Amino acid sequence: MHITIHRRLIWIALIGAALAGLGAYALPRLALPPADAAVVPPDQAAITFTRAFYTVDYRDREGWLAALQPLATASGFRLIAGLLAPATWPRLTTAQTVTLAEQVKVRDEGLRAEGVSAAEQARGEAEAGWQIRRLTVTVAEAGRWPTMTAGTFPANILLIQEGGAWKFGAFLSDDDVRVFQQRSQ
Amino acid sequence: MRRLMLALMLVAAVLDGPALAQDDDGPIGAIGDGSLTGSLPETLPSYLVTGADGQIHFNADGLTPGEPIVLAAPPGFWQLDGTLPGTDIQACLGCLVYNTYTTATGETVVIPNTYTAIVMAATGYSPFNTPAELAIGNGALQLAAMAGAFDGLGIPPEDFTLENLIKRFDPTSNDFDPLFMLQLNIALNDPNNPLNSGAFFWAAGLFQFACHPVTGECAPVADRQPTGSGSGDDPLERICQALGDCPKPLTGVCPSRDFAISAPPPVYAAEKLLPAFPIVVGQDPAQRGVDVRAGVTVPPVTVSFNVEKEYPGERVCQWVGNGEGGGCTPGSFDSVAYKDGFQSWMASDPDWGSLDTTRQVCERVTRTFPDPVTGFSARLQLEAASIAWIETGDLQQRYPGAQVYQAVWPLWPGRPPIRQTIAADRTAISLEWERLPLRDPGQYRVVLAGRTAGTPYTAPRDLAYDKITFDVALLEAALIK
Repeated sequence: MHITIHRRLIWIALIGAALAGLGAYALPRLALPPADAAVVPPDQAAITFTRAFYTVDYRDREGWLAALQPLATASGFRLIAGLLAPATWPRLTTAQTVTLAEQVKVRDEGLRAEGVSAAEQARGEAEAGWQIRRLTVTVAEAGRWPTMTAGTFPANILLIQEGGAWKFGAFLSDDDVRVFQQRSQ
Repeated sequence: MRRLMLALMLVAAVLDGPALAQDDDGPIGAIGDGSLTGSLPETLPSYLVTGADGQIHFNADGLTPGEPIVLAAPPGFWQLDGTLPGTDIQACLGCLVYNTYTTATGETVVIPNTYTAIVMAATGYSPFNTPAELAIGNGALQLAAMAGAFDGLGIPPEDFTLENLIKRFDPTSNDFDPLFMLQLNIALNDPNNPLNSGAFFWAAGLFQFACHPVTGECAPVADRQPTGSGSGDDPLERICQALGDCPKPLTGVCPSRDFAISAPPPVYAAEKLLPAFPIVVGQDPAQRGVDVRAGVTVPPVTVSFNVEKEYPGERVCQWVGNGEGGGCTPGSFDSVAYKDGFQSWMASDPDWGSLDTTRQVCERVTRTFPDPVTGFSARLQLEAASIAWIETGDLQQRYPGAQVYQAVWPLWPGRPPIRQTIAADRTAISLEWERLPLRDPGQYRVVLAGRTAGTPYTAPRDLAYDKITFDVALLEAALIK
């Protein structure tokens, strides 16, 4: 018995098999980015958030908030939108402050405290960790806020894991940091 | 003026559902279902109205908004500094915040925000220096939790009781979680929170004061009814009257009340007791440690003022008339109200008689009020310069890797004292700790903080002491050629 296979069918089958293999390899990676790529390390998350926080245009409060929202926890964004922005923006508007991203430099100085929140665990957060990192922030003179007392200043940032990512929770004073440090011992 | 002192607890057990705060257009906030314990005033203040739903609603129409009162957290409570790094902008998260309004008749209406109301409810703490004319508390805390008001805070609604909250608020409790406190503060202070919409806060409370409860000032009101002596606008006069010390207005015997208030400053005790020359415990073969005493004494507040008093005067023989005098029998009077003195016919003339008189005297009265301590904390703090010396200074150069083991030593609360003396009226506290195992060399500050309850005439006072008190030495060996 002879089976006749047209040459064109062979090409179609080969191309189909190649596409199927490529799809099997690539599709999961298109749908879900590699785990390592999704997790921004906390020092980088702190720098990214802080730089975005001090980058402002007095004419675009909503844009500023929109940029910060994905970088902050729900609670942290509540702090920004409900308390910090109302205290900050009127003075930025009066001074017509514009601070460009390139005018803000943030350096991570290391970890000051870390721990796991029982409250976050109770909320169902699988990874309920928190970190407090020390930063040094420098804002160029041309972009300095009217409320700034120095061009370079330290900052303590509380990062909380939410949805698997490190996000802004609050800025803390040294006294506040000590409370966390004592509790995490 | 209403002088009703009410404590109305709104029992919400039979509520069909929570009455969330509404927009300013409508009834601004329902504060309960009208199922009240205690007694209601005969007439509610104009800003409180009973709606068709049977609930009491707050309506700020006709009230003049005032500056919010922002007070430090009660002693022992964690207070998030909230200073925005690099700026002078502050957003105090643990502070107690009260919105204020002034009524047309000059009373101050004070409404705590939700976090503040919970702290007050959980601890019984009140920063006010005068009793409220009207106090309405909402017992719907747990109901609020059941309705999801505190979702996301990691506490099951059924656990949202005052007892549980107190444990969580106490920094010395195992249940204290700074992250929880932070998020609770943010949630309950957020003006965009549905709890805080409108001018009234559900699950909060309301107080009305004759005068501003912190400044003591009474709002100037043009159409205030005169109060007899014309001194009704004087807050001191009103307090004096409320206390029953000034029952009658002055009639001129005393030119004025001339209030004089003396509130001597608190006297702090902060000292190292033993040993005479402490060394770090790690270098002490006996590992002796350091004994420390800390405390405060708040002298009483004294208030002096003038009052007019009436005393029995002379018995005077005088004209009475209408045959009602009965005559002036010799020996029954002290003096005679007649230009020529006693006349014999006065003894039998029924129009004359002996009457008791009174005399008005202006007296200076002094009242003493204890100003009890409502909260007190004490800690040792390694001086910043000493920390720098250890971590980055000379010591670090000589001993690379030297580190600070414990810069802050919470003593009260945090470490049971070996001796404690607390006066019955809580105006004096003395605490002693023995053998504190201080591991870090340097200068130590004794930091005391707290607050007094205030008196009817004076506002609560902050207690604050922060001074370098003693040194702990590090022994260093050196080779001498």
